[in-house]
Amino acid sequence: MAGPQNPQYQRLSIVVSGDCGYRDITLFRWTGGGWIKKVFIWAYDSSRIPRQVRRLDEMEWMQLHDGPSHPDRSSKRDGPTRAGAPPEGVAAERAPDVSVDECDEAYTTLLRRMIERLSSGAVFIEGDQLYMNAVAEEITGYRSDELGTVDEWFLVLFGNRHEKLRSQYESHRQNGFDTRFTAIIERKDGQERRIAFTGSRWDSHEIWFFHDETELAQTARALRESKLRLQAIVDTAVEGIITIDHRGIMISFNRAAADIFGYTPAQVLGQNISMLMPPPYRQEHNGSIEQYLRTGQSQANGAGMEITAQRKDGTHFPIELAVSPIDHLQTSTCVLRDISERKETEARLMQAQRLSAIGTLAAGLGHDMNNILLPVRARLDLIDRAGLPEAVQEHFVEIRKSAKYLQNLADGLHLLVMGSGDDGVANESTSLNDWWEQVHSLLGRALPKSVHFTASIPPDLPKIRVAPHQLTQAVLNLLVNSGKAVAPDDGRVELWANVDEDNQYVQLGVTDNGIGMTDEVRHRAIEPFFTTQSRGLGTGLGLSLVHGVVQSGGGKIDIKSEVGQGTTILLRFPIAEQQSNSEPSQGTGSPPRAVISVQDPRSGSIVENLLSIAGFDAEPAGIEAIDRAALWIIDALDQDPGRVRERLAEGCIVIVLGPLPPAWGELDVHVVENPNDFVKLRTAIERAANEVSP
Amino acid sequence: MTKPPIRVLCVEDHAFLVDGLRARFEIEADIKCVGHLESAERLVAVAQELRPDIVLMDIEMPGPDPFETVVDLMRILPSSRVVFLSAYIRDHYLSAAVNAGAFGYFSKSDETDEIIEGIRTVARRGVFVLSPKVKARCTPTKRLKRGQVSPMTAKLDSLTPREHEVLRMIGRGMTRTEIAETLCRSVKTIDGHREKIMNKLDIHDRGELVRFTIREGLAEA
Repeated sequence: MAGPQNPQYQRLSIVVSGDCGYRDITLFRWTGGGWIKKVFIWAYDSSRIPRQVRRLDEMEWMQLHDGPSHPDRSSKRDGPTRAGAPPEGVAAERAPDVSVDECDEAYTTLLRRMIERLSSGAVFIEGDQLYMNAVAEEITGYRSDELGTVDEWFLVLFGNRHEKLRSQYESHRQNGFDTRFTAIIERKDGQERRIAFTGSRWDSHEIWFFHDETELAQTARALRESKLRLQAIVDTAVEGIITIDHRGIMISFNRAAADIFGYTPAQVLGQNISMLMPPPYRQEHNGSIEQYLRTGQSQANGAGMEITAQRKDGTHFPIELAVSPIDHLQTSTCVLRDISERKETEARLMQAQRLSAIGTLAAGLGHDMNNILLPVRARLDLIDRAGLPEAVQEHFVEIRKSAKYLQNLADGLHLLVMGSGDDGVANESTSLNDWWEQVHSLLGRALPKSVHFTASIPPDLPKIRVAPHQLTQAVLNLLVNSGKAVAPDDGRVELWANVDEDNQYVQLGVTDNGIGMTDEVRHRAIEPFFTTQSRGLGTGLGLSLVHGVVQSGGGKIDIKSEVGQGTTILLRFPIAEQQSNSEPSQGTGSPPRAVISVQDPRSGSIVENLLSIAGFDAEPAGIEAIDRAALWIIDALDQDPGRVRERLAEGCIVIVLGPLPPAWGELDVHVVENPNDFVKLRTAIERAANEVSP
Repeated sequence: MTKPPIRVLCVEDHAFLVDGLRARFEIEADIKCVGHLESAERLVAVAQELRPDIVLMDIEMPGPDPFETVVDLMRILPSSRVVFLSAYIRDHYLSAAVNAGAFGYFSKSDETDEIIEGIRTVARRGVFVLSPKVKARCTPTKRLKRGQVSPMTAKLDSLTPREHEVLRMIGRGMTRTEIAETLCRSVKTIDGHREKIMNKLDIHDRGELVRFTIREGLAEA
């Protein structure tokens, strides 16, 4: 049997890369004697073990001349798989009429024909001459005869880079084309293509194999970019995006999710997503994952579902969650949004609407109570005046007290429904003493009868920065809470107030001897929606509303509580500026002086009322008085403009009632054209008050 | 020579309230209740007949707008002086009262003595009187600088009568469709009114608008 040791065969191996399908092509050339019968070409894929001979189209057997051939026999049984031995019987046949030169020529032709049939681009080089196969022509856009030499090939396809590429090529050539290299060629039509090369050489022959990787590179780049884009979207999304596998294990966790939950990705990746939910929901979640795995049905599939989540710090918050399964990857993408703010707004709106409804009711009730109480008080006056026998005097006094109590209740109702509207709460101030006088009857009702309620509000507390109706709502909430916390038979609730040591705050406390709070409850008590009652009973907004009220005035809330001992909720309100708006002054403590020079008694008295409301010390005109006045209110018709100018020059503010006579010219006075226009008159006076004591 | 008693005409829909006041006035030598009306409807005619010194008038009553009636009364019978006696103390009532030409504003929660003294002051001195409770409630709550927005009353005053009407209906909890049907207008028109009202009042959501109507007493008026 002939083998590689048979000197009559020369074995040539060409490394082929790319998409031609074969890694090696092995050629055998007959070198024995001067005669050749056939040249055989086998191809096998050296990457496969055991190596298998593959058909190379019709090239499995190539004949130089017509003659008998045995393709099947050779490919099936033998071939170069056995150390390159030609098929059995090949060597035995001879074609005596072929010379060695002819054989070499045929060999070259054969190579060219083989190259022609390759599905990758191939360049066959013999000496300096170059031949490209059809695929290479297609890749480069040139015909073979247009790039006839190696020099031309480099020059035309690489332009001014030809020298660099030529030297790269040479170095690869020296190394036997052991690695492939890529380069950008310029096609005939000007397009740039990315080409990957390998090559092989023997004697004076050389073959380059190459294929066009442009699309591949573009696809790879596009893929890379798309991945980056996708990552950028995921990274910058406002929504938390978490990918989980089929067991619920988190495999990705974007920045928003990290912000929402307070975990870094490293802390959660590899963990079950149920860790992001509080215990009662955690089990439910595990159950729903199981159900999802079993049925493919998820409650959160696609559309959003509202559930409660838990941050790293243990706080609970509502989220909207949508889960989209990616079937072929057996993963799911969870897109979630923190909806605390929205839920809080909704709840507050609902609370506001509920308060509105209660307000309407309360207002109606207060209205009717006043309608009844006024005649009751009028008749009590009559009875009193008529003189009562001693025996019923005591009863009469009690009836008076009751009427007074009811009147306070009616006034308190009013204080409850007054909304903040456009009034900046921070601008309002309340005297705790006056406030308590008005609301004590109403607030006492907030506790069950059995609860022992005491209030100790010392007299002369400074005013605090909070609107009275808000204070009522806040304290009402606290009292209702205390009422629920204390035992029905031994409940004690105390409302108390004092000024703190630094004289900065008025402290208003509600203390009860109720069940108290655990540390956890105490820490979370002012969280919106946090409630210890079963859902449906409490909104969980009570203390959070109280907190809102206190905070809006710049105050603080403090909770002291011990389980079984009771709770004290302490509201600390900043003391309002001593110099309140209603008492403008010029720094001396005495109210500023205003002088009224208005003829019509009604207009004059309206002005007088408004001045006293605005904090002025109002008095009728007199020369001396005008000289000392900070504000002068005059009729347009009666005054001498020269005198007005003098007063203005001295810094007095002047309000003129009625249209300004043309003779007055330009004067820096406030004009209220219609003295009956109450709003304009009031606004002008209040502005003057602010200018006097800014 | 003793002065003739002050003649008071009460305009009030609650008869028992008027009865109580009438009885109370009787022990004052200088005040006499000369008549009682349950609404402002026949006020001008009855006042022309009775010639009262004081018209003591409620605000929230069935029938015609009390402030408009007072404007008519002042034109025809300027010698009668109107004092409002309301269960509510509201900026826009007070402003409407002054604009209409009233001489006083009292709250039904005022002490009866204060009301009587107020009537006396208005009748004898012809000056304008606010009861202490009303005055206390008028205490300015915020500082107005030059060019700063006017108080809410001014904003309310900027509403047209139709906008006022729509606002009251909103306050009563009527839906836009109901308001449209009541006023024989399209829902779109009502929406337009609502938008203008909210712009003028500088209110930005419906809940706040409803709260505002309650606070300003528009809801039940």
